[in-house]
Amino acid sequence: MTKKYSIPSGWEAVIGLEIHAELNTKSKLFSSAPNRFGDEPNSNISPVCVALPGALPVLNKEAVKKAVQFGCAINAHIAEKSLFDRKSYFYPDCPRNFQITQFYHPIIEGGSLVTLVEGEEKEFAINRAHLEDDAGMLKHFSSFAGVDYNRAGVPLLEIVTEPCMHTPKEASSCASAIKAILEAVDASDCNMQEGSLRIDVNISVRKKGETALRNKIEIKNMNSFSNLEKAVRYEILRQIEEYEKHSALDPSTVITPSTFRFDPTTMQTVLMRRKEGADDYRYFPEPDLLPLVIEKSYIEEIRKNKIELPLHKQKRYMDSLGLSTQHAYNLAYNKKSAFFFEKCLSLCSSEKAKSIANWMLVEFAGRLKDKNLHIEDSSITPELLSTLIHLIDSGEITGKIAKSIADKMVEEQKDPQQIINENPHFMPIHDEAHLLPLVEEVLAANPESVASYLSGRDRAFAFLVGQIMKKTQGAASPQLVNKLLKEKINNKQK
Amino acid sequence: MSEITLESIEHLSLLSRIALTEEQKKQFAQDMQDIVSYVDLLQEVEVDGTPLCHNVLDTLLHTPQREDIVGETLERSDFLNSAPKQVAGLVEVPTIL
Amino acid sequence: MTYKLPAHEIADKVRKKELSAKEVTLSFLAQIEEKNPSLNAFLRTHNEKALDKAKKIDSKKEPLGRLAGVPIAIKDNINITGELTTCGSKILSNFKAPFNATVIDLLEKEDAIIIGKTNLDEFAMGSSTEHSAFGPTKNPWNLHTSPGGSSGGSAAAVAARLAPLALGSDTGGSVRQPGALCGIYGSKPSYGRISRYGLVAFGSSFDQIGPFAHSAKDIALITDVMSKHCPKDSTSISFDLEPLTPHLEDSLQEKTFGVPWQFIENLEEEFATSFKESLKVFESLGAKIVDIDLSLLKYSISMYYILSTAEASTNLARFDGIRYGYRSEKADSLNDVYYLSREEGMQDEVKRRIMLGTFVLSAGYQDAYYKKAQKVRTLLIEQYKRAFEKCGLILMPTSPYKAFEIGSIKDPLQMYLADIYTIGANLAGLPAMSVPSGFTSEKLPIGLQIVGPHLKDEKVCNAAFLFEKETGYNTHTPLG
Repeated sequence: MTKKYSIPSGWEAVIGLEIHAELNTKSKLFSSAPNRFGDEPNSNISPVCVALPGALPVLNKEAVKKAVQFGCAINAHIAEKSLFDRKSYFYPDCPRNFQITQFYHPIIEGGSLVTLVEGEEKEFAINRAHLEDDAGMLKHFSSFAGVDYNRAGVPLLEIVTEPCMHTPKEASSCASAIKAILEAVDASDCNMQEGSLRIDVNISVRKKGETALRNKIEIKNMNSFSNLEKAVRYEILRQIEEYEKHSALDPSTVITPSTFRFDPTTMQTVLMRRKEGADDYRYFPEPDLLPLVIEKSYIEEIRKNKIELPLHKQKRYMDSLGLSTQHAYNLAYNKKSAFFFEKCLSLCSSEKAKSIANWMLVEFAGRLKDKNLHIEDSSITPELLSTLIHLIDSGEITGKIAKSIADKMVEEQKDPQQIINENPHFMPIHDEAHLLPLVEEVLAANPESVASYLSGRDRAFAFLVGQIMKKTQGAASPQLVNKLLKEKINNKQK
Repeated sequence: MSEITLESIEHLSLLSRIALTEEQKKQFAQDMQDIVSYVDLLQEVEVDGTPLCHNVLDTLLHTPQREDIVGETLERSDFLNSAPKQVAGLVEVPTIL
Repeated sequence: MTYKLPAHEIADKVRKKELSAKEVTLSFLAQIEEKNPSLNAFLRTHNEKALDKAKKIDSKKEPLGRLAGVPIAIKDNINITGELTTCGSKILSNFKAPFNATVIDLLEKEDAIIIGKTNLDEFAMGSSTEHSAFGPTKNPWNLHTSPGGSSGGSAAAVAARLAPLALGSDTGGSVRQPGALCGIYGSKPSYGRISRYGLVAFGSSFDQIGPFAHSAKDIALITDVMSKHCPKDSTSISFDLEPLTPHLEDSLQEKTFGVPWQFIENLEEEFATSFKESLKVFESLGAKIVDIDLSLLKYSISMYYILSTAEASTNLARFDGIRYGYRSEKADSLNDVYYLSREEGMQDEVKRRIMLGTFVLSAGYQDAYYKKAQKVRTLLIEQYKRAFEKCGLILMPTSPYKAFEIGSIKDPLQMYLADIYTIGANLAGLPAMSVPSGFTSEKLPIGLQIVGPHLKDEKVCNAAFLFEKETGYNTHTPLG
C-alpha cells in the first residue's frame, strides 16, 4: 500500500509533459512507404525515408488533418501558415542526419484541456504541437548494433504542455487526457507498448513563492501512467532532498539539466546522461518544402464537426446513464472501452448502463486479469455480453448462475446460450412441480416473515425468496419463485 | 568580423563529423577565415524589417500535400545489399557505447 | 557526319526513318571512344543499354517521340536506375541508384537514348571540374584548360560533339559557366520548372537541372520535354508553363534589354569588347538597351556561399558510411564510421563547404550569417523585380574570364569569384542562359548571358535564338 503523496512543506514541483504520438496514417509523413508496426525489418521503406541521394520529401495530407483535428479538440490556435525546419544531429537511426520538424512556426499553438484529477475538474494548458518525422530503430546486440528503418519517417505529432502540473496525479491525469483525446479524434493508436505513444516528463522543484523556474530534468519514455506517477513522485522528492542537502550551494549547480529513465524494479529515476551545453541543432527552414498553408474554411469545417471529447463523454455517462465517477472515467477515457460499452448499450438499453459497466469493469475485468486482457481485446464481444445481460433480465438465469457462466465464457470462450446448453444445471428450474413443495416448506418455516411481509415489509419477501433460492442452490428461476411465492401467500390470506 | 580559430575548426569538425589532420585544421582555418572575411561584406547591407526568403517559391506556392496512399517502396534486398554491412535484415553499425 | 547534326534534326530524321537510332548511337559511341580518353568528359558510357534502346526505337510501330534516337549525356549527379551515381566522389563510387530521376523518365518517354554519365566537380561544388575524384575534364578548345564547372563533363561532351545534348545542374552557374567556356548553349531554367527528384541535392533552393546544346532550338526542345509538374518534388511548379519552342521567332522589335553597367565595369578588355558587340546585335534587331540597377549583386557571392553551403552541409550529412556508399575500412566505432568515411570519402572543397555551411548555421552565428543572407536575398529578388519593370530581359557576361589553365587557380575564394555573374539568377530563381557570343584572340569561347523574369524562360530562349541567327557562333567547333 503506497503512502499518500505529500510534498515537504515550503516546496512545490513544476511539471511539464512532452508527448510524441505516432499518427495512424497509412503512409509516412514525407515518404509514401507504409506506416505499419511489427513487419520484417527494412520492409517498409522508400528512397525518401532512408535518405537516398536525390530523394525529396512530400507532405502527407492526412497527417495534417489529424494534427488539425487534435488542435481543434484542444481549442488551440491552428496556424494558417506554418513552416518546416531541419534539425541536425548525427545518429544511425536518423537517415538524413537531420530531422524535418517544425521549430520556428508550428502548426498548433496554445490550447488547453480539462480533465478530472481525483474527482476535481482541472484545466491544463498546452504550449504547442507540431508535426515531425520519426527516426528508425536501433537494436543493440553484444558486439554490434543494427538499424531498422521501418519507423523512419513515420509521422509524429509532438505535443508540449505548459509546465502547469504540480503533482504526480496531475501529470498522469493530464497525460491520460491527452491520450484519450488523440484516440477520440482517431489521430493515433496510442499504444504505449508498441511505442506509438511516448511520454517524457520534465520536472523541477522550487521553494514556494519563487517565481523563476529552477533547472529541470527530463525523464524519458514513461511506459505506463502508473509508472509515470511513481517516477514523478520519486524525482520530486529526490530533487528536494538534493537541494536541502546542499543548501549552501548555488541551486543551479545542485540540479543540472540531465536525462533520466525510470527503473520500475527499483522504483527510482536513473541518470542516463547530462546535457553538457545545449545540443546545437542548427534549426533552419527546410528548403525542400514550401510553407504549409491551411485554409481558414478547412479549419472551421473541422471545428464544426466536434468529436465528443472524453471529459464530456464521462459527464454524459454520469448524468444521463447514472454511472459512478470512476466507472464513467474508465470507460470514457479509453476509446476501445467506450466503443464496447456503447455497443452494448445499443444492444440492451440505457437502463442497463450500470449493469454493463459493472460487468465490463468489475466482473469480466477481474476474470480476464490473469490473461492480461481487457474485455475489448478478449473473445467476449458486446454481443455476447448483451446476451448474458438479456438472460439475467428475462429471469432465465439468476445473478449467481450468470457469474458461473461468465467464468466459463472466459475459460472456454463460448457464448452464454451454448454454455447453458452444455451445463443443464445452469438452467434455471422452471418446473413448478419441483418448486412448489419448496415454497411451501419455506413458508411453513417462516411464519413471522410472512406476517411481516403482509404488514408491508417488502424486505421480508426478499428474505423468503432468498430462502427458496438457497434450497435450490440458486438454480431456481427467480421470476417463477417470485410468482409462486406471491400466489401462495395470497392464497394463504384467503 | 568573425574569427576562425583552430578551436572553431575543431568544433566544426565535430558538428559535421569530418576527421581532420592537424595540417588540414590549419589549412582550413586559414581558408575559412578568408572566406568568412569576404562574406562579412554582407554586414553593411541594411535589412531592418525585411522578411527572410526561405525559397524563391514561398510567396508563389504552398507546399503540396499528397493523398495518404502507399506508393513506391524500396526492395528490401536491394537496400540491404547496397549497405556496407548488414546483419539479420538490419543495417549493421559498430556498437554504441 | 551524324555527330555534327543538332538534336532536333536527328530526331526529325529518325522519325522519318532517314536515319536509324542504331546508326546515330554507333556514330556517337565511336566519337566518344576516340575523343573521350583525352577529355575525360564521360565517366561511363552505357553502350549496351543505349544500343538496346536504339533497337527498340528502330522497331517501334507507334509514332516516335520528340527526341527520337537522340543520345543524351547525363551529369553523374542525376540518378538512372541500376547505374552508378558517383557525384564525382569516392564516397559514392559504388552507389547504384535504385530509381530514375524524373527527367530521365521524361526523356526516355520521348525516345531519347541515355548514352552515359559525365564528370563533375565533386558534389557539384566547383567551377572547373578539377575537384572530381576521377580526374579533371579538359576543355576541347584547349586541352590544357578547364571546361569550367561543375558540369564540365557534360559541357565538354557537347562541345566535342560526343553527344548532341547533355544535362548538367546549375546551383551557382554550373551549367552556364561551362557553357560559356566551351562555346555552347548552357541553360538554367526558372527554379521549379524542372523536377529535382533524382538530382543529388547540393543547394536545394538553388539547384536546377539544365541542358547543354548547340542551338537555342535544341535547348527549347529538351527544356519543353522536361518542363512538367512532378508530384515527387514539393518545389516543382504546379501550374502550366509557357513552352519555349513556339516563341523562338518572336520579334525583338521595341523590346528593351537591361544592362547593369555599374556591376560589370571591371571586365577584361576582350570581354568588354565582345559584350558591347553583342549588345549591338540586339539593337540591330530593333531592341533598346537601358541601364539598370542591380547593385545588390555585389553581395551575391557572399549570400551564395552562406546559403548554398548551409543547405549543402545538411544535404550531404546523409553521406555517412552507414546505409550505402563508402564506409572506411579502418572504422572500429560508430564515430569512426562517420568521421573516417567522410574524411576519406570526400575531398577538401566539399569538406570546406560543409564546414562553412555548418558554421553559418551554428549557434551564435546564424543571425549574422544565415538569417542575414536570407534577408538580403529577399532584397535582391525585389531589386530584380524593379529592374524588370524597366526591361524585358537582362544581358550580362557569363564568365569574367576565359577558360583558365587547369591547376592555375588554387585559392578557393578566387575560384568562387568565377561565379560572380551567374549566381544572381540562382539566388532569385530566374531563367538564364549562356549563348556563344565570340572568341578571344586565343580562340577560346566567350559567352553572353541572358536573364529573364521568373517563369519567362520562353523570352530568354527567344532572344538566344534570334542572336544565334544573326551571329552563328555556335557553328564553330574545337579543332581536333
